[in-house]
Amino acid sequence: MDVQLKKGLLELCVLASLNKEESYGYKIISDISPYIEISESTLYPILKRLEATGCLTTRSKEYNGRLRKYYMITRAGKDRIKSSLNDLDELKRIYEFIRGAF
Amino acid sequence: MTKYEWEHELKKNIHRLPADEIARVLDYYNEMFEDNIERGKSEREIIREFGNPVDVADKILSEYDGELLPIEGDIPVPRPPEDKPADGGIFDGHDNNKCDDTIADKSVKDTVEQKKNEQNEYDKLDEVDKRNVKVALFLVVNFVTGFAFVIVAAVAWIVLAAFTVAGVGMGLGGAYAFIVSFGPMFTGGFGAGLAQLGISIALVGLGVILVVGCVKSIRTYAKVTKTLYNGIFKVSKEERV
Repeated sequence: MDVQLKKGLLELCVLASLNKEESYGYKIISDISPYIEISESTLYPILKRLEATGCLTTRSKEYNGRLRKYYMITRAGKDRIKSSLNDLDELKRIYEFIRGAF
Repeated sequence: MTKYEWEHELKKNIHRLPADEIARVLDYYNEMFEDNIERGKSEREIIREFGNPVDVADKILSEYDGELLPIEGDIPVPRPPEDKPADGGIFDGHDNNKCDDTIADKSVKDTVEQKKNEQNEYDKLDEVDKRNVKVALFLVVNFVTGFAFVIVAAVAWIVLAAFTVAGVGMGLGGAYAFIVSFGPMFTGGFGAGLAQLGISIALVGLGVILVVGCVKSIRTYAKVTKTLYNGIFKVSKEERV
C-alpha cells in the first residue's frame, strides 16, 4: 500500500482501537493486525506522534509485577476519527468506482 | 541472537538519543517482549519479528524530532522547527482536524543519509587512489631492480616462442627424414634407413610434445600477464564510475 496513505490509516486504526477503552502496545497490534499490517517498530513512532499531537495520553500501570504503558484516547483524538470519516466515505466511493470498472 | 544481544545492539545504535528517549524505547520493546512471551512465543520468534536491531534503530532515529546528543567534541546544533508537510495522505492537513500537527518529518534521516553518501565518496576515492598507488609501487620496484621484472617477463615470452619454433622445426625435419628414410631402406642401406626412420619418428614426437607444451604454456602465461596488468594498471569495472 502507498506509504503515505498507510501512515494516515495506521494512525486512525490505532485511535479506533482506543476509542472504546484504553489499551497497551501488544493489544493494539493484535487488534489491528487483521485489518492492516503493523509491526512493533512501526507502532512506536505512531504512538509517539499521536501523543505529541494530543490525540492520546499515557499512563503506567502495574501488571503481573511489571510496568505496562496504557494509552487512552483524548477528546481531540475522537474528533480526529470523526473528521476522517468523511474522507473514509470518500475513499469508499472511490474504491467502489474503481471496483465497478472491473 | 538473544534478547539481551538484540537490546544491546539497539542501544548501541540509538546512543545519540537523549537518555529519557532511550529509556522509553527500551521500555517499549521490553514490554512488547514480555507480552509476547506471556502469549507463548519463543524468544527467537519474538526477536525475529522485531527485526534487525540496526534497522529498528535507523527507523527510530529517522522519526525522532529533536536534538541528538553530540558526538564527543561536537556542539549540538538545535534543529529549527520545520513545517510539517501533510503526510497522512487524504487524512491529514484537514481544516477541521483539531489535532495540532507540529512534528517535523525530516529529522535525523537527512543526517544519516548524508553520512552514508560521504562514506560512498570516500570509498570511490579510495579505489582510484588504490590503483594509483599500485602503479606507483610497480614503477618504483622496477626502477630499483633495474626493470628486472619486466625483462624477465619479456625473456620468458622469447624463450617460449623459441621453443615453439624449435618444436615445429623438429617436427617438420622429422617428417622429412621419415619420408626420405624409405629410400635407403630399399636401396641396400636397410640398417641405416631403419635407423633414420626411428630417429625421424622420435623427432616428430619430440617436436609435437614441444609445440603442444609451448602452446599451453603460452596460453597460461598470457592469462597471467593479463591478470597482472589488470591488477596493477586497471581499475576494476565496479570501481569505475
